[in-house]
Amino acid sequence: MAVVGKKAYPKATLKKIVKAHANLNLKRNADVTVGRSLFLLAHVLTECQIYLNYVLFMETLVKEAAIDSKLYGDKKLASRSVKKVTRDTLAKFKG
Amino acid sequence: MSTPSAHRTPSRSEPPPSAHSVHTPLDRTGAQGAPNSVRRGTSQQPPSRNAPTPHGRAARRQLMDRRTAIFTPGKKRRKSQNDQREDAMDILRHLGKALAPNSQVIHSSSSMDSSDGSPESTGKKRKSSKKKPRLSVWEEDDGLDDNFPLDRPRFSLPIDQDEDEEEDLPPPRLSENYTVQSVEMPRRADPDRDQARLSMLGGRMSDVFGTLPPEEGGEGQRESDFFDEGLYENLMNRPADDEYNRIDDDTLRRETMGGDDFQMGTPGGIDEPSTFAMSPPIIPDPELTAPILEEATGGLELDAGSDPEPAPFEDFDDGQPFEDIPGGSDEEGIPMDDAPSDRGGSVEPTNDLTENITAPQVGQGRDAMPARKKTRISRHGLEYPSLPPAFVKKVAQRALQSSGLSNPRLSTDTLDALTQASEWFFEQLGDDLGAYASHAKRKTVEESDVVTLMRR
Repeated sequence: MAVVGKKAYPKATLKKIVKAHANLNLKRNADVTVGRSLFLLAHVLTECQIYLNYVLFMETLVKEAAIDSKLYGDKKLASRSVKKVTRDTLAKFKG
Repeated sequence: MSTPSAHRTPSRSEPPPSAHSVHTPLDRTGAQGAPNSVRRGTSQQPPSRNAPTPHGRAARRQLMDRRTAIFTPGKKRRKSQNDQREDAMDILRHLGKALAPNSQVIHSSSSMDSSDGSPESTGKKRKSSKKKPRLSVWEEDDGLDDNFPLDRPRFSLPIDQDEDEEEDLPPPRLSENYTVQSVEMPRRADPDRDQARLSMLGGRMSDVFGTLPPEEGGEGQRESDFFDEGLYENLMNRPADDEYNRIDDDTLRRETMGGDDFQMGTPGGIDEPSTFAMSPPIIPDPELTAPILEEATGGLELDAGSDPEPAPFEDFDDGQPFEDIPGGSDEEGIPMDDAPSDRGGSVEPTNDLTENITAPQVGQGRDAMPARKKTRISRHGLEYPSLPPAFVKKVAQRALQSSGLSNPRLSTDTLDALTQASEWFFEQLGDDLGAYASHAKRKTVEESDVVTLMRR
């Protein structure tokens, strides 16, 4: 976890996933001459947005699932309620 | 029964104090039931009057009734058994009761011989002349049943000897009668009436059993001795093990109590292997689960370590040789495990079976990404790694803290569901971003696409 703590999120994995689904490359500064730091910034921006979007999605999902599992009297987050809420939450985040 | 009780009270009141002193101890021993219980009931009723509420009184009455019922078992047993079983007996008893007022000769208890013989014999002779032997039995029964209270004075008197003689007499008469009822009569009557008779019968029965066993019983006793020894040995051997063994020993005892020597040996042998058989399935489970966990954790570590390296030059890396990457990754502090795994496409690391299986595919794939886990193929034909559950867990737990659930822990099922949901989310998100980007006639996804997606 220490290694994970160092990083906020698995950028490469996220990027590969999105890239595979979008069949497009995520934006990075095409101008290689810009320099590495700037390139990183520009590159990270899209990923970071995606990550933030994912965090928002997860927050909504967990909140909905928690409400649903509370309705059933569970004190923990129930997988049943998560599965139940997933569809609506995904639809909410549909582009 | 009612008539004799009616007779009892006067008889008790009547006898002189001198005789009373002699009789009382016998009365206590013999007929404890009714009078004592009645006395208790009467004595304890007054406190019930003091009861604060009528309900309390009723409750105390019920309690007293129960006590009286408990302390007067003999009466009820007799009644119940008479009602249930003895039909002919009842008939005769009713007859006797009906005749009882007429047979007031009983009052002359001092002269018992004449009283016992005359009334009952006359009454029964009226009814059936054929049943003379039964009548004789009946005389005894009536004498015992009806005259219980009256018996006490008799016992003190030499009349007891007469009763004993009568008891001794019936068996030959029974032998004379071969009808079923005549044979069953005394058996039924015996438990009810006198324990002396019971003891007599019990002694006979015990004698019979005692005669039988010496042939077989000697062996049986020896066997039991052997059982005990074996059990003790087992106990001595096993107590060191566990409680389970003790329980087994108990079961063994029970089995051996009714069983044979051979069972002794076999159940012990069976139980032990059974316990051993029970344990192995438990053991392999952790073995099975452990590698999974190890794989998962290893995969997570790999993901964690590998994440930074592809980020910067990942697209360039596709065409470039891999040797450049590990250098950069080492600079960023990636664990060494990632380097071989990254090379997996070409070098084929020997970490896990899954990697070996997926490695050639990855080598064929464009990204040449290490297959840390199962790689999945999107509908565009591109392979992509599955989402690391640790990442999902981290995000979900962060979200859970604000959800307000009392238990912020995530079960494996829930984590699986969340991972699956996030997988779908990223698939949807990728599709949407690709759609936005292609709509803008771009080949790359830009921030504007993401912003548009988030604004929607």
